[in-house]
Amino acid sequence: MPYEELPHTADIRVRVIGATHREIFREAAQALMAVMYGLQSSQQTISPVRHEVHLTEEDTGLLLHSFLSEVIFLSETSGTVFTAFEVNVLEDQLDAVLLGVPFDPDVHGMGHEVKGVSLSGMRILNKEGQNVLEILFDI
Amino acid sequence: MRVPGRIYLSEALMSSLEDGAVRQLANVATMPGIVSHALAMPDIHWGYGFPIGGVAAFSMEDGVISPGGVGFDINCGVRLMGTPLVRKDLGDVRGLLEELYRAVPTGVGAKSSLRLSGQALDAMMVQGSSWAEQEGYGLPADIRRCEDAGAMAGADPAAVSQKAKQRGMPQAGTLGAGNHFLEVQEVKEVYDPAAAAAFGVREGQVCVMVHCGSRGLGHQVCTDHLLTLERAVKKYQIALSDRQLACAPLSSPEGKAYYGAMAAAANYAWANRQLIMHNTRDVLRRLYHIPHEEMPLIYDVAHNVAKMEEHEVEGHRVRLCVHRKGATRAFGPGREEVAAEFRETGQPVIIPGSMGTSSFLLKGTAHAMAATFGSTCHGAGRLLSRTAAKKEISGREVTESLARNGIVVKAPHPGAIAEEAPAAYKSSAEVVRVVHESGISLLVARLEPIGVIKG
Repeated sequence: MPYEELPHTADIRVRVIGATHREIFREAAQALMAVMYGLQSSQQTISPVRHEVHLTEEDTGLLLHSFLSEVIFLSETSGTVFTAFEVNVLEDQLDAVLLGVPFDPDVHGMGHEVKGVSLSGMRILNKEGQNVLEILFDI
Repeated sequence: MRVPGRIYLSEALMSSLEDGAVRQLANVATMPGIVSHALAMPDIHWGYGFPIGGVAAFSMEDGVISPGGVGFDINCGVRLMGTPLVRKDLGDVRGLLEELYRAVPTGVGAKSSLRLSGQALDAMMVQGSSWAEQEGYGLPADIRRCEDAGAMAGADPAAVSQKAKQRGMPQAGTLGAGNHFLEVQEVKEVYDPAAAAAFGVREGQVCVMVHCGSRGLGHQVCTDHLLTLERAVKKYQIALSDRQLACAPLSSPEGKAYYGAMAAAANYAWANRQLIMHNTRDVLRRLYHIPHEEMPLIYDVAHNVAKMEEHEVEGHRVRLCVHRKGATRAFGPGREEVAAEFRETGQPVIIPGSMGTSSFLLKGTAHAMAATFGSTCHGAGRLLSRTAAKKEISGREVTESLARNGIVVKAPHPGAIAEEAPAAYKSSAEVVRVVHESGISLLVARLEPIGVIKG
C-alpha cells in the first residue's frame, strides 16, 4: 500500500510521509486513487491520459485540499484513474500533471466512492526532517 | 458552550459512544446563534465538524448555516415503496436482484443511461421529484408523499458550480456506493395498526427501500462552499473551535449562496430517488405484471439537510434553520408541512437497518416537536471501521451467513459486502428502541430484508 490506514469508524483516515511538500502531495493523491479504485502500489501501467492542474490558495492545507478535490473531480468527470502525479509546490502555488488510464469497472471497481476531503481531519507535521500528513477521506 | 448538549442514548449504546463524537457535539454547542440544545441521536458517531446523528437549530437573526452540519452527501435519504406482493409471489429472488441491478446503475464509476441537458439539470434542481414525475418517471401521488413534496424552496442553480453540474449530469438515477442500497423487504411486524393503515402498510407486504443521495453534484456543492465559508469565518470574525464547522451568518451573501446550492442539491437527490423508484417499478411490472399505480410511494425522508422551519422555543413561535446531519425529520400530528393524509398520525419516518438487519417505519410525535425540533435518528450507525470489518469477516462469509437467513445479496465486489457486514454496525433495533421509548418517534412497523443490492 502506498499509505498507512489509521483507525476511523465511518470514513478512511490515512497517513503518508514525504521529504518535501511536493512528495506528500503526490503520495496523498496516490493514496486517494488507491482508496477510490482499490489500486495496489505495485501496479505498473502505461498512462495515456493526461491532465494539468494549476492552483493558488492561502495556505498549504487549503492548497492540498483543493488539489485532492480537483483530482476527485477530474477522475470522476473524465472517467480516468490517475496512476502517476508530477507535482510542483511553491509556497501557495501548485502545478501538477496527472497521468492516468480510462476507468475499467472490472479492474477499478473495488474501491470506495470518496465524497470529499476533510479539512478538519488534515494534519501536516514535521517529524525528524520528514513531512507527515494525516488526512481524512469522507466516504 | 452557548447551550447544553443532549444525547439520546441507552446503556447498551454507551459503550460504543466515541469521545471524538462527544467533543464534536460540544463544539457545535459553541456556534453563534444556536438555540436551546445541541442534540445527538442514539446513532451518533464521529463525523467531520458536526457529529453524524447531530441536530442543531440556529436563530434567523444571529445564527449561522454550516455545510459541516449537513454533510457531503446533501439529502442523503431513504424512500419506501409498497407493492401488492407477498414474499411467495417473488419466486426467484436472485433473478429479481439481477434485473434490479441491471436497471439501477450501482457502485463506483456507474453512469446513468439518462442524458440530461444543462437546462434539464437546472429544472431538476429546482423542481426535484416533480421534475421527474413530469418527465414521465413517476406518478402525481408520489410527490406529496415526499418530505417537502420532494422539492425545497429557495433552490438556486446559479449557486451550484459548473463542476458540480458536470458531476451531476451523468449520475441522475444512480445508486452510488458505500452504505447506499436498494433492498427488497417484507413487512414482518406491525406495532401500530392504525398508523400502518394510514401509511398503506400491512403485515406480509413486500416493499422496496432505496437509500442514496445527491451523488457527485452534492459532494461538489459541499466541497465548493466549504472553501467559501472557510473565508467567511474570517470575514465575519466568527470564533470556531473546529475548522470544519466553517459557517456564515444566515443573512450573509455566503450563507444564502450555500443555502441555495444545498437546496438545489437536495432537490437533485429527491429526483434521483424518484428515477430509481421508477426503474424499480418498471422491473416489477415486467416480472410480476403489476401496474405502477399498485406500487405507491409510502414516504421519502431526507437525513442530511438544513431547513427553515417554525418551532416553539420558550413559548414563542420562531423561525429557525434546523441542521440535521444523519438525523431524520419526525414532525408530529398537525404540522402543515406534512401531507394531509398523515396530519393526524404524524409523518412517516423511515429508519434503514444495516445490511441484513431490520429496518423500521415510525411516526413523528408532538414530543419530538418540543424536544428535538421534530427530529429523530437516521439508522444504525457504524461500530467498526471498514478495515476492521474486512479483517473480521470476508464478503463470502457474510453472503453465506445472510443466505442461511434467506437473504440474497448482490454487490459490485465482495469487499463492499464485508465492509457493510451487520457486525460492523450498531443494532438498528436498539437505536430505534431508544427513540421509541424517549417518545421522539414511535414504532409503526418492522421490515426484514429479502434481497439487498449494495452500492
